[in-house]
Amino acid sequence: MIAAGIVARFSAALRVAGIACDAGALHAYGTALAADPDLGPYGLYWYARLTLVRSIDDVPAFDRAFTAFWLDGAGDAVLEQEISTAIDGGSSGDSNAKPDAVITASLEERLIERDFAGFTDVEWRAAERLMNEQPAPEEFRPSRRVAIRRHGRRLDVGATLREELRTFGLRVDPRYRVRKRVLRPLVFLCDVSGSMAPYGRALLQYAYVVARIRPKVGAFAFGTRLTDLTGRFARRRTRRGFDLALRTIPDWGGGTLIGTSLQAFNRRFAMRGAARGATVVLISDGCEREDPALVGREMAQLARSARRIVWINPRKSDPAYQPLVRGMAAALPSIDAFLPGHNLRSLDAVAGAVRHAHTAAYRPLTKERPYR
Amino acid sequence: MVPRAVDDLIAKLLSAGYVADAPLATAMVLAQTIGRAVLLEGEPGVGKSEAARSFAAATGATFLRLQCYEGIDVAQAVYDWNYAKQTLAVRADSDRASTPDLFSEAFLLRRPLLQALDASATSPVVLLIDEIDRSDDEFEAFLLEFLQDFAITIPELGTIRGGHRPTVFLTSNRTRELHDALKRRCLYHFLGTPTAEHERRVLRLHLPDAGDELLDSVVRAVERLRALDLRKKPGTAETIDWAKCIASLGGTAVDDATFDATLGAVVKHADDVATVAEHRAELLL
Repeated sequence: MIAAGIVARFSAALRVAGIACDAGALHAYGTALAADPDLGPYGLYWYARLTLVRSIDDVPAFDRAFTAFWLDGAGDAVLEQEISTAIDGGSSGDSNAKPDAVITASLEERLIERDFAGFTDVEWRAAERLMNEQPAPEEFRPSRRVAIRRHGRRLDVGATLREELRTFGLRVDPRYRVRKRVLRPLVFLCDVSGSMAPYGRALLQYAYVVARIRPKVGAFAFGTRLTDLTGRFARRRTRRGFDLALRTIPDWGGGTLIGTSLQAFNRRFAMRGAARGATVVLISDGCEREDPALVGREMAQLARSARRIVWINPRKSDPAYQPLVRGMAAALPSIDAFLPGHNLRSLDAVAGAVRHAHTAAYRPLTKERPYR
Repeated sequence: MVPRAVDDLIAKLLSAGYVADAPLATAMVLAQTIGRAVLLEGEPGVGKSEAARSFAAATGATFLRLQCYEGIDVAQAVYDWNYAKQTLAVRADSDRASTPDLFSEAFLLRRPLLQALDASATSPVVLLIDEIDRSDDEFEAFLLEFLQDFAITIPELGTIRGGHRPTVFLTSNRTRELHDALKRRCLYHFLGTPTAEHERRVLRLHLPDAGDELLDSVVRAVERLRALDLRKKPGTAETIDWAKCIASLGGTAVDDATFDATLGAVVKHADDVATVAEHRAELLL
């Protein structure tokens, strides 16, 4: 029989490993342990994994924590070290930023036009504040669900009858079924390789802000591989949450494999529905090192599952820019809007492209549109 | 090491036609001992729904299935009033002084969740809520109440509580992350790609008359297919289909003749067909 105290200490170790277990889960674990008369390591492990872990992504971390706690014997030393790493990981990063500077309106105005490439920590904070003031970029589609209203086109016999029964047929007051509307998902794909890192960060920051004010926001970062930040963005609502999320990107500021990353996104997320009916906002300069044809293929695949694709390329801020880079050229046939995104003002235009996707103002004229 | 109850269940599932590994069976046993739903996640075709179906068969329970889709609501999942019948009842009784009670059990249409709580049922009930990731957040939120109390409140009738708790299975293809509050009410288990040994046992169970050569060659070919860079890797369901296709064509192994004729049973994406064609020779080795 395992004492409740040990289970509680184990849960503390899991929490340090990033797996939060609430009282209900612990109770379930305790019940499962108590219900097994001949408990061995198998039960110890599997009961814990089945009751305490809630995502396959957490399993590696859980395994490490489990081994460290139950099998090493020196559980406490490991625990101590993990706690100290967690504390270290939480406080650094902000230390060189001195947010004592008063951000004046004029600074903000200059900030709007400034290229992201030269942003300092203080400026990032100010940029976040400015992003926060924007209305949520939302686009809707008609839902399968219906609402019952007094006005509409389609009569709802059931609802009318119920209404009639209520008044014993004295009042014939028709009720109608009206389509509700559903928010379209919004997915951000951000290139965070070497030259793109500041711009990718800006869009990620924007995604983080947007995820706070509306549901159905997906966020992914890629350089040589794809990192899913959606869960982290949905859970953490603090500024530190954003910094912590960035720290989980292993290939920050490294090389670029756009095709491979898009392929990973398509297979692991888009094809399973994460991009279905969604507006996908992608930021990248389109410099594919390996196989531009792969970029073309995967963009075509993405275009088939997503509703709209907005491609942001900071290089486009240069009026002389031509999308000649081979990866970019291969992607063009599959995108719906092609925008620059080098400063806050241009990012605002991106928000407009999402928000007003259905209005003529942001729909490019056919003549000017080499894109779909 | 594996608890006896788990071993027993594995044996029962096997006789019901399902090859379960110990962790999956453990989850099922736990679901009963601590009264929680089992959330099964995994790729399409790894046997998530089949696990629930077989569990019902193995334990002699009544099996109820609710397929989720975007826009599913209470009227389709829990109950609805039979408006046509109500209208008729009003008409039939219009000459009498009293109106019938229109919101009584007689006019209730029971949908799967309500059926699962049916107190008059003598056998236990297994409820499968399939592809929960397809439903939307509102329905997920509704399920929270159901999974917590195993009770359903109908405003006109009051609260309906089950005689015994149904064993609930939820499945998800991970098209989206489920809400944490829902996961908190479930035991979580991820069904991964099966091993060759596991898959061979599954095939043997489904094709008792097939020759060893056929089973071995199908399992081997599927293993190689999975190693390729495919958009959709074949699941166990596809493996079974493929073996059945070859067997029904009279083939005894995956060879030149049967490969092309039956490839559609495992490879279902135009790009993948091209990839497979490139590697045809090594797949057929």
